[in-house]
Formats: sequence, C-alpha cells, structure tokens
Amino acid sequence: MRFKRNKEKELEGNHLIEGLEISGNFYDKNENRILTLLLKGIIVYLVTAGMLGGTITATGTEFNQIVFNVVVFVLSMAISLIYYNKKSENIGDIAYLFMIIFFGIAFGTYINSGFYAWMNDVIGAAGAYFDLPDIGGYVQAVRNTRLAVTFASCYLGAVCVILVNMSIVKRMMYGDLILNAMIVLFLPVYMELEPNYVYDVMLICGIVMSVIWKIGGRYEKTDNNSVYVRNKKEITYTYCFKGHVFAFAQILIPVLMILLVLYIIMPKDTFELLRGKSENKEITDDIVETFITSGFAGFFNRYENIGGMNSGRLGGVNSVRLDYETDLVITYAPYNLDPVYLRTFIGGDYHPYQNLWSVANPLMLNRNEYERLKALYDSGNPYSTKCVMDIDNEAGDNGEYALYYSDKDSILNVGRSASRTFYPANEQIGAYLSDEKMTKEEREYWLSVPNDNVPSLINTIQKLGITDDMDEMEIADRIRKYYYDNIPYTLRPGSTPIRRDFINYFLDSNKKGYCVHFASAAVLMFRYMGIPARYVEGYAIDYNEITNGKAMEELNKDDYLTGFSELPNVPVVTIDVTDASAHAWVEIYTDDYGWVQVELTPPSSDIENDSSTLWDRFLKLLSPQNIDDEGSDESKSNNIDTAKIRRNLIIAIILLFIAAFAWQLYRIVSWYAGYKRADTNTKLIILYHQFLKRAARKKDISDARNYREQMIVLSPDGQDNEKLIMILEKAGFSSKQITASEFEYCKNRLKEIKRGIKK
Amino acid sequence: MEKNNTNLSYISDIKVMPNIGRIIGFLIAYGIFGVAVFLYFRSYTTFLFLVVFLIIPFISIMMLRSMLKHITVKLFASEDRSVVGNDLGIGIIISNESIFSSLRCRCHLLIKNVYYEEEVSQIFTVPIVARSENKNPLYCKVTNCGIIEASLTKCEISDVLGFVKAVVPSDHMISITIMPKQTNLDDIQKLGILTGFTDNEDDSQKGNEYSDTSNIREYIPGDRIKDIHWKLSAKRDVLLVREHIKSCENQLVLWVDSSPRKKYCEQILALTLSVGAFCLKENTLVRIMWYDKKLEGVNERIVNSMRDLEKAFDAIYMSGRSTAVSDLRSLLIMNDYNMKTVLRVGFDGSEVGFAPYEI
Repeated sequence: MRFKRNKEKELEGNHLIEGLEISGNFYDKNENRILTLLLKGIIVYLVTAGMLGGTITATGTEFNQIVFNVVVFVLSMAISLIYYNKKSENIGDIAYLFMIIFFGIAFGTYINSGFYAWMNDVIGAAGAYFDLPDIGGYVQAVRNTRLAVTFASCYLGAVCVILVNMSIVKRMMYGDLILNAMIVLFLPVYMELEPNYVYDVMLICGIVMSVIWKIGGRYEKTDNNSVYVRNKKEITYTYCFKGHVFAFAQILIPVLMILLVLYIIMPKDTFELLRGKSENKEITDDIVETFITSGFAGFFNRYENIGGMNSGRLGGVNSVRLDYETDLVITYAPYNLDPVYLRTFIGGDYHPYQNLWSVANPLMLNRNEYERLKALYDSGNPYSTKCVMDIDNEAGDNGEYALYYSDKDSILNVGRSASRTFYPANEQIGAYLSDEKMTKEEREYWLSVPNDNVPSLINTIQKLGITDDMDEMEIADRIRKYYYDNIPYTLRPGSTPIRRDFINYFLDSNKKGYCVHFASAAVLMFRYMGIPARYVEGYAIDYNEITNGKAMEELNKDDYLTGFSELPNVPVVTIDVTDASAHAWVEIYTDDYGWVQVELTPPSSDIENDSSTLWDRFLKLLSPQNIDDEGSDESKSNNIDTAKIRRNLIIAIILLFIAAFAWQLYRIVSWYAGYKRADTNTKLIILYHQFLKRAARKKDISDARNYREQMIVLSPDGQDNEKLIMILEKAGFSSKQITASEFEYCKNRLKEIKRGIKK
Repeated sequence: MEKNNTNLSYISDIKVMPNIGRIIGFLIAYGIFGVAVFLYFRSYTTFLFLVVFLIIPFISIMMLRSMLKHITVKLFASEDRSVVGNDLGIGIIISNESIFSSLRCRCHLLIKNVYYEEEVSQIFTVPIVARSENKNPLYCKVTNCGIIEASLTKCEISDVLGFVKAVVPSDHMISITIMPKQTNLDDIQKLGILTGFTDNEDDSQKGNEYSDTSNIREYIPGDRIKDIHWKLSAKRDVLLVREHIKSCENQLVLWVDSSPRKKYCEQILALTLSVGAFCLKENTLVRIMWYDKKLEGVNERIVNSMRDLEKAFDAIYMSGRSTAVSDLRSLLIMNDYNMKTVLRVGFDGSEVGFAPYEI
C-alpha cells in the first residue's frame, strides 16, 4: 500500500494526521511548571549576581554582599515566576516597573551615593592603571559608603534581573548573557582588576546552565498551558524540571571540580605573575581612557569648531571632523613657497583648567613690523614686496584675517569681502626691527605662565636639552624635534577630561594632539624660558593648495604684487580655503624681527588622506611609490604607517581566504555528513543530484524534467538507461530501499556517463 | 497493540556522530571569541571560562556514551482502541538506568492512518532523565476513524552540550484502532430497520442455497428439518445439515458502501456501527460486507457480538478506504454471492443513510 505523504499538513496547527489532533491546551499536571520557572530564576540569579557582584568586588568597593545576594535571589525568583502565564506576566511587569521607580525615588540619594562611591573606585583604579594623577571623582551625599553601595548594588541588581530574565526566560539566549557579562565586567577586567572568585564561579555556572538549557532545545516559554512547543520540524516536550536538574548536576559537578582544581593550582596571584602584558590593549587604551575620564561625552565634541579651532577654547574637541566646505576665497599673487598665514585670533593669557586662551590685550599688540616693512618697500629696498590679497569670507568665522604683515585691519564678517595690503618679510631684507624694544610691561604680559602649568612645563623642558647659549630659533628647533620624536600628530586626540588642564594633560598624559595642542604647549614653554610668545589661530595656506588654485590670467599681476618675488612667473591665483587649512601656530618675539610665526606642529598625512577618496587611498596603498622615498622624516613616518596598513591588509585578505576556505570545507563536510547519515535511497538521490550539477556544466539539461529525459540528454546511446532509471525511480519515489548492489550499479553507471560527457 | 521496543543495550548498530555545525560553531566561538578575548584582556575570569569550556565538551560526550547502554525507548498509547471524539495519549517512554541525562532525544516517528492511507513523519523531542522511567505523552483528540499505526524509526540522543548524537535505529510500533462514535440506538429503533426487512430476507431464502452457511455437518437428532442439505445428503448418502454461526432466526446483511468523499465516509462508518450494535441488541445476526481494495473483491464478516463488530471494523480499516464508486450488483454477482437483497449503508447523493438494495 502506498501512503500519501502530506507534508503541508505536518505544519498545520494541531493537526497530526487524519484522525488525530494534538490537544493544544493540555498541561501535564505531573510536571510542575513553577519549578521549571524557578530553575530559570536560579540562572537569572547566578548570572546577575555573578556579573554585578564580580564588577563591584573587582574594584574593591565594600558592600554588604549577603544583602545583595539575598535581594538579587529573591527578585530573580519573583521575576521568573511572573512568566507563569500571560496575565501574570503583564501584571507582574508593570508591578515590577513601579517597584523599580518607587525604590529609585525613595532611596535615590543612597543609590546615587553608592553608585558614585563605586565610580570613584573605578576612577581611582583607572588613575592607577592609566597613570592619570588627580583624575577627580564624584561627591557622595551619604557618608556611609558601605550602606550606599549596598543600596546601589541591590538597585542595579533589580534592574539587571529584568534584562537577564528577558534573555533567559523566553529564548535562553546565552550569547546575550555572555555579551552582557562582558560589558558589565569590561572596565575592571580591562584594568586587570579581577572579580571575587565566588562571583566568577557563579557567572560560569549560570552561563553553563543556560548553554545546556538552550542546546537541550526546551527553552521556549509557552503562554498557554501547553506542555509542547511545536515548530516546523518537531514537537518538543517543554517542561522537564527533573531532567534539567540532573543535566545541570552532571555538568556543574565537573565544572565546580575544574574550578576548584584551578583555584588550587592556578590561583589569581599565580596567574597575575604569568599573564604578562597584553599588547593588544594598547590599541584601545586611548578609547578606554577617554571613556573612563570623560564618559561617553568624551567621544563627542563639546562645541562647534572649524578644523578643531574655536577662538582659544581648548580641549572640547574629541576628533576633528573636516567638512571641506569653502570658508574663504582668496585671490593673490604668490611670491614664495612658504605658507601664507591669515590670523584670526591671538591668545593673551592662558587660563588653566578653564582650558582657555583669552583674547590678547589690543594694547599689547606690537604693530611696528608693518610700518618698518612698508617703509623699506617705499624706500626701494630690492628685497621688499608689496602684496594685495582679496579675501571673500564665505563661511569662515568673523575675524580679522590679518596677514604678515598688514595694517590694522577691520573685522571681516561672513559674506563680506575685503582687500588686504601686506608686506611679507624675508631673510634677504635682514633685521628690520633692530631698534625696537618691547616694553617691560609688554614683556611681562607675553611671558605670563600660570603656576598650575609650571611642573608640567619644567618636566618637558628638561627633556629638550636646552642650553643657555641657544637663541630663540634654536630653542624652537628643540621643541619641534621633541614634538616630532615623542608626540604624534592626530586629528582624534580625544577631548580633555573634565577637571583636567588641557596643556598638562597633553604634555603628561595624552601625548598626542593636533596643532592646537602643540601650539598651546609651546607658547607656555617659550614663555617659561623667557621668550615672549603668543598663541595664534587662523588659516595657513601652503603651496600645495596654491598650486591647486585657479590661475587668474585675466587679472593684472601688478595689481596684486609689486617688488621682490621668488616666483616671478606665477600668475594671480584664486584659492578656495577650507577648514582643512584651519591652523594654530606660535608667534615669538625677537628683537630683530618682532613677532614672527614659528611652525612646530609635526606633519601628518591625516588631512591629505581624509581628502582623498577611499579608492584613491587604496590605490596609493598598493602603489610601490609609497616606499621609495626615504628622504624626509615625514615620508619615513608615512612609510611606516603605510607598511602597517599594508600588513594589516594582507592579514585581512589572508583571513578572508581562510574564511572562504573554511566555508567551503564546512559545506563539503556537512554534505559528506548528510550523505553518510542518509539511507541508501537518499544516498543515491544525493549522488544523482551531484552528478546532474556537474553534468549541467557540460550539457544543457534545463528542459529535461525527469530521470528519463535527463538520461536521453546525457546518455543518448546508453544501453542500460532503463535499469538505471528504474532504480532511480525506486529510490526517489518508493518507500522500499534499493539494494546495495543496485546502489553500486547506479554509482558506477553514473561515473561512466560522466566520463562520456567529458569525451 | 505493541509489537516491539527498543532497548539500546541490545542494539549493536548505534552510530555516534559528531554534530558538525555545532562543533564548528563552538570552535569559532571558542577560538575567535574566547581566545581572542583572553589574549586581549589576559584576565583570570576569561581564563576560567576558557578552561571550563575546553573540558566540559569531552565530559559531556563521555557521559552520553556511558548513558547509551542503559536506555530503553518504547512507544506507548493510552489505549489500544478509542472512539472518535475521545482523548488519546500516545508518546514515548524512556527508561534510563544510568545516572546521566540528556535533554535532547529526538524520536523520529512515522504515524500512519491505515484506513485513510496517510502518513506523516514527526519528530518528538523528549528529555531523558537519569535513573527513571520517563513517560512523555503527546495528548491528542481523536477526530476520525481508522487504524493509527505509530512506529519509532530512529532516536537521536544528543549529549547535554550537543556536540555528538547517537543515532539509534528502531522498529518499535504501536497501533490504535479508532471506532466511529455510535449514534443513539433508540434513534435506530425508530427507523424500524429490522421490521420486515429480515422477514423479507427469510422469504428470499426459501428454496435457495443460503450463503451464510458456515459449515456442513452430519445430522444430529434434534436438528431442524429445514436445515437438512438434501442435495448433498443424497450425494454422500448420509444426512447432512447446514450449520449456522448463531442459532438466530433473523439475519441482516449490511453492505458498507464507503464513499470517495471523506466526510461521508465517517458518517457511513458511524451508521454501520450503530446499526450493527442495534442488531446485536435485538439479537439479530449481522453480516457486514464491503469492497476490499487489497483483495480487489468483496470481504465480509459475520458479527455475533460486539467483539466481532470491532473485528469487522478492524478488517474494514485494513482494507483501506475505497475511493471509487462501485456497482454493488455486479460486484456481488462477480464474487458468486447469491443473494437478492442487502441493506446498503452509504451516500445516496443527498445524505448518508441506509436502504434495501435489490440485487
């Protein structure tokens, strides 16, 4: 008798077969569902207490652990039981939420204080780990720290119980549990603070139990009273308290024994001696440090800025994000290869901890450079130059946009244009300010250094190797060299932690930054060494940008430049100046030249890389030209970076190949496993499908819809096709198994046909 | 009706197979996630996790291996015979004498309704509890007639962490006969089916060979004269009498004309059962006849008791449901049945009922 297989009906609700419907609303009274839920509650307790207790004990914070454990245990059991049915779940969730809110309000002071106390311990540990002195902390309202932390731990436990329970009761998602535990334990574990061993054991046991439960396949919560869960593939008998207890026991007993043995042969102390330093963590130290010192706020810029600049406000920029939109349009005739500086802000006094340069006192701004250079030009000095620059402020800040050296200029607001006349200085002109001296009052003003910065400055200056006979430029060279060798340039230095001084943090702790950092610190170093210096912000347009500018042949060059020029053949150019040119630099005062700009910021390829497309960067990376220029320090630095990136790229490609290979291997192994597992009929059908797949590469069999038609196409002259077709049909459609000899026959016949196709 | 059970200790061809997907998943999670996290943090907590998760898979596999020797798996049904509308429990009984458990025993069942010629394969996943006989019932509502045959084709028993599974072949089978639900016998009585029809049957028998003769034997003083088989007695030169199955004067021949339409089929069977039961109550012999697909001819049962009636239904179910409309007259003539009238239970085009059928 041939039976009709009715696969569609297998999937219908409660229908089992003609004559039998599964009772969808039947609960076996012998199985106590409450016990099953309580068992889930134990997992919730172990995981919650394990990760929270572990985190708190890792930082060494004292709290009443008995109270904490009792509260978390009771809440875990309660929250699990509310899933008894849909009604209790809805009511229970709301009641629990109200309870959380009520306790949050009623004991808010204790909870906050406890949390702050724990955070202070975390910050203290972070200070020790990251070597961050005076990192600060939170002020607690409750003096009894132990009580406050107990309140806070219980409250956090009550919240975590909900989250853990959501992962466990309905879906038993142990992956989520591991992830949650990692997140909660991340900070202490990162800082090499180990949780209490008991909490480790609890967490491990909880996760092992959830793994067993999930793999056992009977984790789903049934809202009705059904003892079964039915899906497409199978009916699962859901509740089995005794089964779970025995399964947990048989694995947890060895787990506890393993942990006991480890506790004896490899206690924490021994492990700490052996573990060594993780080099991988260095990659993320900055991020974690930013997080610990500034929280999530540390990852965001605290104010809007152009290219990291904000008129003397410092430390609020986590990473400089350039928009490459045009801020200014300038038109002028280039006269040498040096950058052109447009000054928008001059800093006077530095305010430590406020991290602020105040606007310089206008009375202290010496403007005699312009007068002298103009006089030299007017007197016909062959090396003097008179330039005119048209500036169109499209989207820049309102500012002076003063050039070296121009007359006292008015503020150029957004949307306005102006024409500036300036007289650039050059070496050939010589000392043009030799008879001008800074007044005592001016000198004191430009030498002021806050006391709070002195220790950091002394510490840094000692490393510069400065001798008494060095002049200003030699000292500048030393500072520049120190920066080049020790402090990398980055557009992502992280914002300065609250309650820390910008310059001290830069010099002592963070030791990376962009132009604002380098210029600010250098100004104070110059001042401390008795050289009048000031912090300047603006735009620095280098020659590369000039060459990218638009030549304005129609403009008369004489209208823009007269006098000496190192670039006599270069026409007037118009340049779009973006925030990529925003810059901060140092001006120092010399008796011979007055205020001169000093460039101390180390070079970086960041800006250039950021401005190119991903494809450009990729091509550049693969280009051999990247490693042929060994000349300058800059290119060396770039080459090192490029080599690192190339190495990582190669590793990534290799990993990709390994992953692809592993995937193919998995497919082959799973195919083979399925083949080995199958009965003889299925084996033959699997082989035949594989044969067809390969044959289809040689011949078109898309129109052949059954064995016979396929054989006609693939083996038109085949003598034994009928027998083969008969066996295939038997294997494919009959409930009877084909014999081993029939299987072998088909296997060999298919091989022959395959060879025939190749011929 | 239990035919066999599966005691794993007697089965030599248990295959313990790795769960490739889970092992690869575990290795990836352990290698990429576990080891990488450990190398990153160098933490004692992650170290403990790594060691524990390195060892417990082996422990779990060893536990499964030692458990396999002590397991017996069998099917059960709450009753051998049930009635449409009743509850029925079928399921798996797993006896485990070892101290280890498995939460995942996937029992592959092949469930057939022999009468309706349908089968489904269904996996029933049950736990195996240490040192206990665990009964895992699947509670069902009986909705249609037939013989339900459930066979356990194989069991896949996984270790608690799911890295390997033991595939155990099996041929254990149970069978449950599902009888139709009887209608009220008083309703049948009101129809008066026995009034006249059995007389008519008797009349039709006069002077003819009666086909319900079950045996021919020698005359014993006291036998009725009309039972003497005169022709045969003359041939053999000894008085022979026809012997009937029951010393019942009246007899009803029921022709079960199962319909190709399933919903009428159930009604026809229910009516057949009710009429049969009513006749037995009224001390009337019932002769149930139907078309047997397997025999490709007529099959029949003489029903003398409720037990006979149930056996007759067993036989009807085993014959399979006829899906073709049959020509009863030609069928009976073709099969050498020499009778003039039967009571046909079937679908008359508008409803299910019964009516005398003149042959």
